[in-house]
Amino acid sequence: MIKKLKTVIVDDEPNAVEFIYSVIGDHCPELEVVGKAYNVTSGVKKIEEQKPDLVFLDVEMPNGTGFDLLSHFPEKEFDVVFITAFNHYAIKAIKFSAVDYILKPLNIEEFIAAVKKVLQKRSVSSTFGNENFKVLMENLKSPIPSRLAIPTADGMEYLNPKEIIRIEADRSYSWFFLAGSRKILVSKNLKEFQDLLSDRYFFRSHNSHLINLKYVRKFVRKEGGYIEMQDGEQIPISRNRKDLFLVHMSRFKG
Amino acid sequence: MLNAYVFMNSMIKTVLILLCLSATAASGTDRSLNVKRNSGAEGLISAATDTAWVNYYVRKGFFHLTKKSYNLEKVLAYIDTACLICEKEEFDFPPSLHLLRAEYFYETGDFSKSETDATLAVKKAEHEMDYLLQAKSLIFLGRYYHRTGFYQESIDQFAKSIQLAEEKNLKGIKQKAYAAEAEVYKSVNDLKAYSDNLRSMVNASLIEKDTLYAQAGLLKLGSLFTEDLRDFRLASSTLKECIRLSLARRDTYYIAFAMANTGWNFYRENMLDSSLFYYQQSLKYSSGKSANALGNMGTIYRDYGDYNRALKYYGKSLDIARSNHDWYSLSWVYKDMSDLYLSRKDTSEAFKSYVFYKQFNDSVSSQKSWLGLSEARIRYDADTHNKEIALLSLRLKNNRILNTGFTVLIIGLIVIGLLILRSSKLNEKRRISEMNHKISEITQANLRQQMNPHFIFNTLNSIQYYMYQHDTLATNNYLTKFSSLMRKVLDNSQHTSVPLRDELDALNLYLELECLRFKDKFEFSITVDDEIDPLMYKVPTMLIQPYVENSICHGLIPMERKGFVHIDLKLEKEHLVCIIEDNGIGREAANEIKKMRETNHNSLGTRITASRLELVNALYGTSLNTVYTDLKNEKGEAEGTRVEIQIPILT
Repeated sequence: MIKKLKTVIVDDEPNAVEFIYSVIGDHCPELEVVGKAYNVTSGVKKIEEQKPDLVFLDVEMPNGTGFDLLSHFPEKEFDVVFITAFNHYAIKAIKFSAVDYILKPLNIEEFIAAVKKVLQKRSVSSTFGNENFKVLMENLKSPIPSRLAIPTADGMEYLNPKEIIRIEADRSYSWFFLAGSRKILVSKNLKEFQDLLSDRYFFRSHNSHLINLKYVRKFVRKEGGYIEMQDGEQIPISRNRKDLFLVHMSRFKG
Repeated sequence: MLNAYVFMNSMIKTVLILLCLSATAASGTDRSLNVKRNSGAEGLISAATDTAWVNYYVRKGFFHLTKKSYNLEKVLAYIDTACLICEKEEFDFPPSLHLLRAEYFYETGDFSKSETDATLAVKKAEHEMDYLLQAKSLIFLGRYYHRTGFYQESIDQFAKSIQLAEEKNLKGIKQKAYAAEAEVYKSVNDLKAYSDNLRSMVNASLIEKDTLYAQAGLLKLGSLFTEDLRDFRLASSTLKECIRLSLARRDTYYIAFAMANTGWNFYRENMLDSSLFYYQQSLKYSSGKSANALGNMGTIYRDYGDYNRALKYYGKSLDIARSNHDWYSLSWVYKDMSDLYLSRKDTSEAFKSYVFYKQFNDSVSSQKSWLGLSEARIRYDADTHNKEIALLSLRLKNNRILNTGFTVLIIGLIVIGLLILRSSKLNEKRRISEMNHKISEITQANLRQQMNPHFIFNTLNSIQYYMYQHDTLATNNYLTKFSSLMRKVLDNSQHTSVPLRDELDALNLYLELECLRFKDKFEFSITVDDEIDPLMYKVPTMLIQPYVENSICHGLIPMERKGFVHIDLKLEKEHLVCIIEDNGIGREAANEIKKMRETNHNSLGTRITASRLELVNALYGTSLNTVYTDLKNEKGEAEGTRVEIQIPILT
């Protein structure tokens, strides 16, 4: 018989803890709940006592956040799935750092998928994505997250969005073109990065192109119009996005 | 009778008009700009550009903005061009450009952008050690907060700029900051602070020999001591100082105004001779065109019992006031005239004047919204008059053909001036109504910031839990409570005030839900004084709930034992008092927890609540506040928190 993953649930609301507990009991035979905690202090204690493999962690609690709890374990030896009701700021940072999270109210299918993902990750490597969490802590320090975690062929790469010249779609993959003429293939589609970077002066000039306005060298109207980037590449621009592009350009603050 | 402010207010307009004229004349030189701009937009690149160009455009932009010619399109064109160059040449926006943008957005009513740019201007100027610009930007930011009703923030900015000016020995900053700060205190009706600031403004400008600001400050102080903080000696010494300064500068506007104020100051002491003398002086310096001085002289003669002369002066005053559309003077002169007729038992004339008085008095309230314009108009009148004199003396030297030419020119000038005056008046009205609309929108957005989304989603999650447990009764109970609360909140948010009963119903539902969420972690009670009829008393919407939520989240939930929160409403003379008392961990411990948190970004909630109370005060002219008391037991250990909110009674 396979050893079950020891699991701890931390949430300030008893109902929320009980809910996760029942869902695990009904749908996740791979997990065994070994502890429930209702605030940061008792959460830290439970984790130290039980040494769990997986922690479900609420972000917003009245006497300290889930992030505060994690800061007690800089070299943690367990996986974490964040649970959050509403906090734009935290969600943005979590997404940027490629850390797992689930929204409240819980969607049971999503919950099961998140658990599956953890199980799968544990079967291929024994690391706990600690680097991602360090990046998360860093991203939380400023209102605009500064490091974007992207999964690559040989692991993770952490980029400052300022280094990205443009991103080009290649079916469900994306090519990152970086300053210093480096390029990386990433196994996520362009749409996801557009969501993350839309408020950072990135512009979707074409169905398969997301460009950083900072690196635009010129806009040429002739031959249907195209944009020349500072690395000399010519990027097509869709007809109906030309006006929008000019508007974005004029608002761009560098 | 005359209020000193109105005369002054009748004046700022002039600058406006003359500048409009100069702007039209200057428009010819701007063609180069348009060419430049087009070529920039075509290729998005113009090769030979650099910081000097950006600075040039920013300067031009400021020129059109600060001169209040209201040629905003031109300003925008300069901004766009400067931005394009910066982007293309890959250098950061200079702080001056940010400040220009901030002022532009402020003019167009785009407040959030204005704030962003102004903040950037402050930061960048500080970084580049351009302290003068930093100070200017701080003053702007202060004015911005003043306009948007964040008075405390506004004052903070001014204090910062004053401090900066001290440290770096900057010229021309302190008096402006004090002047603007004074206006904030005036808005909140804190006359003591208002006068202190005016005093500092005068001192600062005297040190820098900036007589223009010094006399402006003295004049305002003088008016204040004449009217609101009645002090005959202080008023007359302040005004005397102002007259001395403005005589040295031959600034007829200030001389006339200060003289008129002095006249009024004497009149209020019933010293008619002195009063009459000063009004005569004022009249002389305003070239005989002051409805205010003439009207007051009429009143003085009335008090002397010289009714014929009084009527003559009233007549003159009314003529000028009518041609200036000076409703305020028209209204009070008619009122005084009516009194005069009444004392002569000429009831029919008295009645006639009284009818006129009522009529113009009604217009005054509508006129108050563009007082700033009428102030400019008087200055305009004075200036055109000075011009006329200059032109007349020229005419003597020249031959007759030129004479007619000048006459035509003067008439032309006056006609154009009047036309522009008309249109600017309309513009101003529109701008003000747009501004008010924007402000009330911001207000509304603030007022609707009511239910914490965090609470909503967590509640939904709890409901889902019961559902999952097949506990249909609990699910149903929870869900219906939640929808009742949402319905109440939505209903209430339609209004800025609701009957106390509705407010308490929502609060009760909220508390019941929190109790369910946290499984009887605490108890609560709501008591209302018998004297209070909860249907009749209206209160600002959702003012209490955020305080209660604070109590629960920061006081009760972090606690080990069971807690309680009592809400008690009492009636006082002019307001309701809501007392929220809990036995939680106390504010000190809650702050400790906050400090311990690695990430702390939710101070927004309390800030919104505080500024809402400020807003309520501003809206209803009240001065209500919130008192926090830390409860302690005999051993001096924290035993909870009591918050007393004073709530205005609205009907």
